[in-house]
Amino acid sequence: MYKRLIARLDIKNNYLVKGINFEGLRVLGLPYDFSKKYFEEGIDEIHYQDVVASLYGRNLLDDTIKKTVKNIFVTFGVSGGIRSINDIDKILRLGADKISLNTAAVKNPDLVSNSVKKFGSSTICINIDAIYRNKNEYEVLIESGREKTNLNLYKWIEKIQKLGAGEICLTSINFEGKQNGFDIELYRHVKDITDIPIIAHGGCGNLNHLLEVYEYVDAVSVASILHYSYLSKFNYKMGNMGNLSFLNLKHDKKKNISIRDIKEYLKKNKVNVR
Amino acid sequence: MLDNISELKIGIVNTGACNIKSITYAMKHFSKNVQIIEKKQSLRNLDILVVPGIGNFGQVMKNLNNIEIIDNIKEYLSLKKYTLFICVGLQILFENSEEDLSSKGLSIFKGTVKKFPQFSNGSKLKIPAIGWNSVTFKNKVKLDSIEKKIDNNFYFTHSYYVEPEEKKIIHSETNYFGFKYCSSIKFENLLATQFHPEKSGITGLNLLKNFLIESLNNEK
Repeated sequence: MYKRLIARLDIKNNYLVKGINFEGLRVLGLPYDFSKKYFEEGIDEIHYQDVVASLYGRNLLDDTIKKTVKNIFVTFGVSGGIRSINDIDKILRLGADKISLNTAAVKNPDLVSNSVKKFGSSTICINIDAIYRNKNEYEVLIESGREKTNLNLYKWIEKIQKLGAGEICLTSINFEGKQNGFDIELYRHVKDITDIPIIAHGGCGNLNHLLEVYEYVDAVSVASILHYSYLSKFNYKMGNMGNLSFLNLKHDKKKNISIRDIKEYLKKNKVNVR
Repeated sequence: MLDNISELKIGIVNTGACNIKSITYAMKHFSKNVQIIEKKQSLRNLDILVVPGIGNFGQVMKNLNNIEIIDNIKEYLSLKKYTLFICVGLQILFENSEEDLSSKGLSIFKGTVKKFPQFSNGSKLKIPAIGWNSVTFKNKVKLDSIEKKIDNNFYFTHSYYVEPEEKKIIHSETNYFGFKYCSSIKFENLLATQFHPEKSGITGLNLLKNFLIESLNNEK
């Protein structure tokens, strides 16, 4: 079985955006342009996160999902604002292969077991945003990291497995968006207490970071490292896409690491990727 | 001649609680005659029948029963026309499944559907198996058609696998952390895969395209 590389696209009002530490957002472009390119370049999976859905209490990606699924023939996951069996059903009908629950799963754990029963465990992923508290203790946050729960991360992971979810995508809020590497200690510990696939997300800044974290997880979800590398492939006309002030600046994040570069580097270092 | 695959009449059965969009768009990539089968109807006129399926063995059988399409599928199969079954689609070709002992499969082939064992080679198996794995075909299979340089990796997502009684129908095997199982079967013009060609990138599109080309060549 190969380890997976997942492209994660955060979406606001149908634009691909990139957030830093769950706060400020930058518009990067159109999500289906990026995902089509990523598919052609050999990405293993694509994931859309509606970053404002939680605020509105519903997922608003219908048109974007429809446009996306016409061109990508790899697994496509969607998350953000999904609250009910009906929400899940709707998103799967639009063409997604799986969905992730976060806030709704914490508030209503029965939704996890019920949706697993209806759609199969491999269709239901649980996203977790965890924040470090002290002495290897993490707290689960909900509502895109805005709200506390007092829920202990490891207890939550144990419960998620009992509820039957197919996999977990775990973000360490302290590391997300900083491009300084993954929360290795966290993933090392989680590996020991889980039987289902774990996806690491948050903190990838260079190839070595990926190499480190793949030792403990089944998949890694990356955003900035890809988006900034591929940004130059699209000739977006500025000015008609909302807040694009960032795009008009000459940013220094551009590193131009292609998906093939990543895969080759990992293979060379004995990580079993496709 | 190869261009003629765009004329092939392809019918995709809507098996219910699963995403048929991806297989539909994949087929629309090649043919302009793709239709979704959602109610009882004759399938005789189709060139290719596709039965996809994600989810639960019992649920898929129930949905097929509800739309009263099983007799039509069986009739189509008796004509030995080109057919593709995917994932749970492959599983329902057999007699029964450990996933739902109260449901009977189509019983086209003898054998059962089993759950992955908890352990393989002493270590715990992650179930469901989600992700890309390599597929070892028993006979040489042409996998290139869109791109020349191609691998034999396909996308899987399942907890159950088929165990056919007749070993000769086994078309490929896959090794899941030391546990070897049948990942596709082929019998006459029927191909059934545990993996999802419609989710397997360029390799998967190649497999689909070659299957369509094969059906054309045989009809000539």
